[in-house]
Amino acid sequence: MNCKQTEELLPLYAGRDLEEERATVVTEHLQTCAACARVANEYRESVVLTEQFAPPVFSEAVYAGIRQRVQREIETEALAPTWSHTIASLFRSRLAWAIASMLLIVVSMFAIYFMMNRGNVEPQLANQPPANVQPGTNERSKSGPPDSSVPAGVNTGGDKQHLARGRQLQRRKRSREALADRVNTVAAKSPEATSTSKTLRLEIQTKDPKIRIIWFVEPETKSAIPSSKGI
Amino acid sequence: MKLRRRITLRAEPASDMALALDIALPVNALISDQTSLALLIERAAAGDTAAFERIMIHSQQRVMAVTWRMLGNDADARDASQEVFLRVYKYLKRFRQDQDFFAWLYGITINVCRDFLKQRQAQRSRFVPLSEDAEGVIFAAADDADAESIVLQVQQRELIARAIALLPFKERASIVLRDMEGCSTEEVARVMKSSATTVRSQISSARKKIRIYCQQQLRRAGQEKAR
Repeated sequence: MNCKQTEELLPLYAGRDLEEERATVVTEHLQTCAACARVANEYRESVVLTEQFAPPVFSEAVYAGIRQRVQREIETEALAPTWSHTIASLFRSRLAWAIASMLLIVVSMFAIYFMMNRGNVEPQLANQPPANVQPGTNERSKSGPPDSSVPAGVNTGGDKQHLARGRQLQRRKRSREALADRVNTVAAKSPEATSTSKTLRLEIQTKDPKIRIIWFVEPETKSAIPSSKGI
Repeated sequence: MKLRRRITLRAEPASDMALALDIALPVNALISDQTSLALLIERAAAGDTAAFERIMIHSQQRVMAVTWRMLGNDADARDASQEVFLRVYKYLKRFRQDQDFFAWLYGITINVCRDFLKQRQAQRSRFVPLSEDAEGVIFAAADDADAESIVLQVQQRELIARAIALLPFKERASIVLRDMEGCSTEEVARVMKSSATTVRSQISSARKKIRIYCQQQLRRAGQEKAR
């Protein structure tokens, strides 16, 4: 065994961590090599110093303090409420029930409100673009009574069956008027509306497929109150 | 939740076995019998804090010695020891009776020290010299040695402390367990969850570094003296 190989083994040799056979070989080499023997001594000294590196003697008060803190921590941890306890206590309280009841009432009210307003949907425009309508029709609808705004020829077969539901009809009328106002406002802005001389036709498809409102506007009666027919 | 259940169990009347154990092992008595230790562990795992107190008394010096050697100062050693015992209590249910309790305890201690060192590294705290932090410490050599030998001992202690502080974590843990705690290489390997060959290599490397550091410091001290 040469010096380099011995030097590699010296840290384990100094701490008696080598197997017996290899330790014997190293011992033999150290007897013949002064340089390696000196390094081996240095290792032995540092190992002895390391082994003697004992902690100071702590007083019993130090250990008692540690134990006390540990016990306190364990008790604190044991008393700390967990998530499941927090949730369970929340469900036990009367406040939770009150909040739940209020939420239920609010949700029910919203549901009833939406159910009642489901039929009151604004009618949609169909077939004709709003540009074909002449301005001035809104004056008639605005000036006349609410009932007179509905043309005589409008197919209101569905409404006849539900005459008792006057309130619903009134709402529909109001929505139609509002739609007519919107159509006329759009038509007034369009340049084509004043230039054309043909009869204008406006079809309005309500939500009910049985009801369709069709308006005819005569160009001659442009200055007067427009006479129109509903089919 | 688990801890709550354990504390509730503690409130139950003591069993005959527990009473017998109380008689056999008065408070502050060290546990010499392995069976007694096993019983204490069983009781502590069931939530008996008195039994856990005895386990702490039995193992506090070993834990404190390892944490002090690993961390290099008293304050950290105390905090780390406290954390070790808290973890022991928390994981005591996982401890199997066929395991070596102290190997298991050393494993937890080394893990806690690793966490502390990481934390310290994050805070970029410096290594506290031993002489600066000696509250509640009684030096063993103070009674029967003259002033010169005390100074020499303190210097040697600081020298080794600084050398150990420079070691990488695994090498430090291996050398502390092997050379200072007197564990065998196989035991160290078990604690470190590593092979004996790896541990031997770590120990060899650590000894080399300690020797080089000590020689450098002694040479420097000799040069300063010569001036």
